[in-house]
Amino acid sequence: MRHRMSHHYKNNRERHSTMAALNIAFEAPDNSRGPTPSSTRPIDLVHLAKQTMGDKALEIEVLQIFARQARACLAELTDAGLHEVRAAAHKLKGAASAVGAHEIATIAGRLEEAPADSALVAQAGAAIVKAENFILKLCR
Amino acid sequence: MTRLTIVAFDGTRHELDAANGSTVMENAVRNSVPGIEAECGGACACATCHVYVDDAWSEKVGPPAAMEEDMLDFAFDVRPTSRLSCQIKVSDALDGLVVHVPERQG
Repeated sequence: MRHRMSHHYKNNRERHSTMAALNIAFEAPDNSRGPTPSSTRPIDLVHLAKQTMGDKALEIEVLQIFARQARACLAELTDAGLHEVRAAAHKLKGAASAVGAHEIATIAGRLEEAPADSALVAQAGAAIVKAENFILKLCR
Repeated sequence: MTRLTIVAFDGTRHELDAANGSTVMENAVRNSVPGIEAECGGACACATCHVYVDDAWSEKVGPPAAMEEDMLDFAFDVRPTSRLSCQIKVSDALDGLVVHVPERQG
């Protein structure tokens, strides 16, 4: 693992100059039992950091793609038949789980089970706006 | 080895020998200093290793980088000397460093 990481860093050193601080990320002790305030935020950045192996530039890229995708899914949720809503909810659930948008993933999962529930669509919309604002703030 | 003092919120002084190149957070976690959670393990992806750098050391340690500042926005009771301890690397220049643990993280 450590060998692979250092190789990865070498290849990307130029592109990801902001990564300097991350060299120690995966050698540090895990906090597996402590509190996890990150999991309650619109995007769980700790989850995301694990997915990207601490690559901040990649995180921003992934989050921007997610924001666009979530917005597109929301449009599909609001004007489509039940079958399409279920498909869009499923897509949204997967995309949200990958980046650590736990609230969106939960709502999308419920919507997949109950695609006719317009209150859930409204909840999904609100959660997406929250996540978009969160992402926007990180991208400043 | 560098002397590092982490003052817990209750005032207990944890005086540690820290290896150069290690971070203040790693030393706190390895020595079970209460109040340093380090949820993300040092990836600068949370704000649960927040500390106040002692006034005497603040200038030498320096200000947080931009991404660290983004994370500090999540921290509780942020002050001008606030830093994330996973981003402070121990070195000879910081021999004797003193940091204070806040009341709580996040």
